[in-house]
Amino acid sequence: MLINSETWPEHRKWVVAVLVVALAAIGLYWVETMRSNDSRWLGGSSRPGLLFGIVAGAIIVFEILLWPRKWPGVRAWRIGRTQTWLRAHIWLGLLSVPLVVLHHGLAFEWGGPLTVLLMVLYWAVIASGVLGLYLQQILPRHMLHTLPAESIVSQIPHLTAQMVTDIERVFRDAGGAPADEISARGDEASDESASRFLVVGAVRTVGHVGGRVLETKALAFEKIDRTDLARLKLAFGETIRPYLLRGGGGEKEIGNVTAAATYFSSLRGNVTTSRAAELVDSLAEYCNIRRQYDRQRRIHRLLHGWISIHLPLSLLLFAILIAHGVSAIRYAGIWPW
Amino acid sequence: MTNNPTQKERAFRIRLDHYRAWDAASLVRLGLVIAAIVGGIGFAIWCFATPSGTLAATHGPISKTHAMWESNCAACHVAGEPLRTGAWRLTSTTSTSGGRCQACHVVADHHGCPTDADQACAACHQEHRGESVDLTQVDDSACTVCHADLRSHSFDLEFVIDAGVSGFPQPHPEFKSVANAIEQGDPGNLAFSHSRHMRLGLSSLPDLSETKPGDHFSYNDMSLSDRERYLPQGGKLTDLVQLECASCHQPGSTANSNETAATLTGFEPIDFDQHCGACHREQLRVPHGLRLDELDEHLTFLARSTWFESLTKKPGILAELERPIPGRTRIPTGATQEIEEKLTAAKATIANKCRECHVVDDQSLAVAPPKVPNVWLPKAHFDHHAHRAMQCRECHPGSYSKAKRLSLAEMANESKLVDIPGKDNCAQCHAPKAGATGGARHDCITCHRYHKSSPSTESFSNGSLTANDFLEGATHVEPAN
Repeated sequence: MLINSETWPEHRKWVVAVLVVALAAIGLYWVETMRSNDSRWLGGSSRPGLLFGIVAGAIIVFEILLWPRKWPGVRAWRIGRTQTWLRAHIWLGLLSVPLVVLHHGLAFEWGGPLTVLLMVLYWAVIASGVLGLYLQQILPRHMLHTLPAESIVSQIPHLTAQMVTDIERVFRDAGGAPADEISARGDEASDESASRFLVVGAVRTVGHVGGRVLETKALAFEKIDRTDLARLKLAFGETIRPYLLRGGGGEKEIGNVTAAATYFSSLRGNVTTSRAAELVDSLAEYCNIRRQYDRQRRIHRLLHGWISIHLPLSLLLFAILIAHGVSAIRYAGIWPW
Repeated sequence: MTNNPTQKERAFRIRLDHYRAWDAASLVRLGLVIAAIVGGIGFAIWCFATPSGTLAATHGPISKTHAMWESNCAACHVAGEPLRTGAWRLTSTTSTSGGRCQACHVVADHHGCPTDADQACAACHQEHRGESVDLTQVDDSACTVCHADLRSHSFDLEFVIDAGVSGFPQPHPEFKSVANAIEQGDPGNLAFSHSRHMRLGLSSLPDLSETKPGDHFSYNDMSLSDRERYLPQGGKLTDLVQLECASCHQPGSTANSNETAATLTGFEPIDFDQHCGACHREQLRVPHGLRLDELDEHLTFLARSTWFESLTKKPGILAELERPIPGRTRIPTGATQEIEEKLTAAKATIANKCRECHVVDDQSLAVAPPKVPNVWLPKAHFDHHAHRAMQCRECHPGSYSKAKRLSLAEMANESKLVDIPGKDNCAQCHAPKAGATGGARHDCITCHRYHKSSPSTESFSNGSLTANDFLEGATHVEPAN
């Protein structure tokens, strides 16, 4: 969920509500503490402490509900807008912080193993949630600006395989593919443009719609000098193709921008025709896309990896919260049984 | 055949159902979610289905005092009933958890005015705060919640004198008994000069050179048994007596909890025979402590004995007695008057002797009973043992001999002074640290006790629990029929 100047009016209502409730809770707690006969801050079994504990527990339960809401079957019910759910998830989750702190009596003594575990889990969940919110503010914008070739992460192997296929096709065409083979493809073969384009991702803006569209790059259907073609095929087979398929970091020959620039500059110097040089540029562009995919994958791990911590911890917190509630009722005696 | 992709194939560069596929991250997340659910449910079951798991719900380690029940919650807790009075309950039922404490700790009500707090031990004595926590160290707030503004509580207003006490030394009032003594004088009905008794030889004169023979008291003037007690090691019998505080103020046992002078102050009460007799016993012609009727009887007996002794010196006097009755003596008329005169003279002499220390009624010659309080601070608990490192003079300077010569009148006045220090003297140490002064404890329970002693602690009775019962947290076992 993005929080910026455009979305702020929607968030502001939540922020104001959270601040008002938090300040009211603090005020109530302070008044009750002053009225009590206890020198320590009131704890969870006091009237305000118990109230805050119940409210904080209810908030945690609500926070957990975001998870089943995303289940395909439940999502079909369309209970509230997704944006509303997310805003409530963020701001109510943050509201629970002062309530929980007041519930445990402003003390760093968290009691026995159960309550200590509960508090550790709670703070871990809050920390992971805040981290996730922060990452969501900066990483998508960062990707938008620095990764024009961004695609769907799970499809990167598929896309890179297509790149290799495209290049191999160009090599075949540049080596002199028989024209009758092309015309013999019936309806599909009549689409001659198919063999003349490489598809390269890039950011384009159409009118007021900003986003990513496909940039197509035309390749002249001309044959390349055999010597140049042989050199390019060798470079493709030994270096470029493995890199495109498997990717990799800076330790590879073309894994980083500087090394790749040097490599392709050298390769371009070894070819004699402008057509071959143009093909080298296309290969360099493909490698650049592959580098962006690798970087996108790393950022993607950050952007979505926190949820792999946040969600399981939240579920564990939920279970321990139930245990805490039952034990509190049992020994603090807020309910007769 | 060419491998060129068609437009249709290009349209499907991205698989439209890619989101259905499980990548490694999704599988890891799913595994963690399942582990969290299973782990959480398992932990909850462990907490409530196993004895060891139940302990996980503890609020913290309990004190060493109750360490035997560390793993037995039910020894103290009644399910659904809070121990703390501050706990909020949805029911109005009275908690019986407090009763578990009183199965062992039977205490009297506070100041004899029972309150709810008396029955809610955990309101002041809060457990689960660590092994080394002393449950008797109650915070001031437990007291000041009422005493800071007693009038706002539903107590008898006539009883409430010091309506607002929220700390020591301020605004704590002056100790009441000391304030009364300053205002009204020594209530003890006893003329006693500490300074004279602390003087060498117990002389009435401050300078030995001014003494007259017999004015000083030496160890030779004591009985053999008293000499053993008072003569210091290496001292000679001809030495003048030098008393110390400990000569009379003897430490008492504080081992039991009975509220006696010995347990409340650390000293046994003063007794004439034990502490005054060594010097004053021989000066008395009659036993000390006789009631007026007993004194009459004693003196009458002495007067008649004296009269009969005089008979033996008058020949033929026995003939004056007509028909003597065995066991009874007929006293001649003139003799009765003689005896009465002697009796009256003896009474006057004895009364004057009594007046040296006591208040004697001029008409009846009755001695007013001494009212020196055994405990001068009855509302507090002052332990001399805790102050044994201090010189007595630090708190009782008036009890030491003066360099200045005192007249008898001054000595008499001095005996009316009460040398019990007020709160300012205590506050030299027992106050918040301020420079070189203060720093010693000054909380309420340093001096005051909430509970009076209980009958159960004054004597031992045969309980009903076996060792196993006790360790299992049983509070009472019905005797077998």
